[in-house]
Amino acid sequence: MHDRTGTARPAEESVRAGEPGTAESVRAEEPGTAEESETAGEWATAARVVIPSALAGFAGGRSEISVELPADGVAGPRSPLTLVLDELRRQVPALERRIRDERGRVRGHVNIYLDGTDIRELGGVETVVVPGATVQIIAAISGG
Amino acid sequence: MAETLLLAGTRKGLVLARRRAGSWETESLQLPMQAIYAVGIDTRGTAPRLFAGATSEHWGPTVLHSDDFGRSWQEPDHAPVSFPEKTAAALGRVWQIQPGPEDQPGVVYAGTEPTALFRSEDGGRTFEFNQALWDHPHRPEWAPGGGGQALHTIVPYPGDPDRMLVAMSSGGVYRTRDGGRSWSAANSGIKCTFLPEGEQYPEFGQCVHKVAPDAGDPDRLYLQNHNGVYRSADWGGTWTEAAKGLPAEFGFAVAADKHRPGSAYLFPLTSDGFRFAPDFRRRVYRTEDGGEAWSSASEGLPAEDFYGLVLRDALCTDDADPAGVYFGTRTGELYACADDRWTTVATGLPDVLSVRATVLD
Repeated sequence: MHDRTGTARPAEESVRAGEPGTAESVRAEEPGTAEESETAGEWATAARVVIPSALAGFAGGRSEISVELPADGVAGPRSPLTLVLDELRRQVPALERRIRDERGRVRGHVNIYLDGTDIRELGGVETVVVPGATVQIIAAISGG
Repeated sequence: MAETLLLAGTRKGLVLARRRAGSWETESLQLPMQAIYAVGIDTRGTAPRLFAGATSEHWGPTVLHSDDFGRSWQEPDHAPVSFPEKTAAALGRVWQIQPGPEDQPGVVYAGTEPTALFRSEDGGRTFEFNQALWDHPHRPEWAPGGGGQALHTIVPYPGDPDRMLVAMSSGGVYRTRDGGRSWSAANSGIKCTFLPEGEQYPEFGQCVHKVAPDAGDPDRLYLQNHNGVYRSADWGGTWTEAAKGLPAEFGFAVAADKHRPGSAYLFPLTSDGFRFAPDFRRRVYRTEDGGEAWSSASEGLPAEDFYGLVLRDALCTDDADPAGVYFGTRTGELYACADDRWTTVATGLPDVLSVRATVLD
């Protein structure tokens, strides 16, 4: 299998089940402020990703996920949305591939809101996400 | 009496039906709100493995499998069918899931939109991209048909893992003799009625709708074209028209008996420009002499007007001898034929896109 970095990964399987759970971070560390994280040189909370119920089964039943980015990497505490989604892919690939295709393009009938504004009205996936921002994934009007 | 399992992929989910003691029962819709363009049943293992090529309008395509008759469906965390980055392409839909022959355990093939072939060696959990077909010099000229630009037919060659035939719309038939390292067009004799006179027999570009192999000889094939029914006796090297007895030559589906040589089935439609069954009747046509002639085998099908049609993967046979035959319609009807008589399995379903069936021991 391929991911965006070309790294081979084991074929972990997920079963379409899962009880709704509470939001929790996919990392063990408690999120801190960007300043604290930068000082620590480890992790800074980039965003709270809110996911629709239709996708909760791909995230262990969670309705939201705190995605953290390395403060000392190229991303830093102010990251474009695309890096937030890249990190989501790394952490929860079964969920992320419902939001973007394998080329990293947001699927045509998926809307993403950053702090309540459609990212199409901002800078798209290049919009900068500040620590503590809310990224909400919503199904667009579609289908019959 | 043996139990029969029938999978029907619809535009809004998967229907699983079972025939026990001569009566059909359908289970609750599975994988709701996903278009199931491809279903598959792999009977080579100790228990049947079911496959669904599912596409959500919102959340994209995937391939799932079930080893417990659909009670649960599994898929890898990472996409099981995924285009390599250098292609700059992304999977639109899985159109075909084809388990390999008995002598290729664990091998499962997938055909996709955009047109590409994938191969699994782990029983259909993960698939590898076939680079040679993607790199074929004809590919820039393959054009999408009404349903999209897709590889929808995969015909492995029993006893020779290096040989395989595929079909795409449009583009036509392609074959490999070296295990997928190279591919050549195999459309000699197939007419393109949508091209001007004098240009109707190109090397490739045909809108082949479906190909089915004969039970007795893998070199014998049946083909439903976009206008025209053909057969081949040389594994697609040449194709000859084989429409005697048919009320019309347009259609999407063709399926062959898996045990009885010379036996195959079609569901004709009036024409490209009038996509209804002739006389608005549900009629399946059968040949029992290798395509020399076809005749209606429709006993038991409802007589009232029918305004639907049968799509390319919505007609199939099971693995019984003689075969049970099955079709689903775009108007949500599902039928089964045993002992030359059709039975209504279900009505009121979403559009049926794909069917597969097997007899359980």
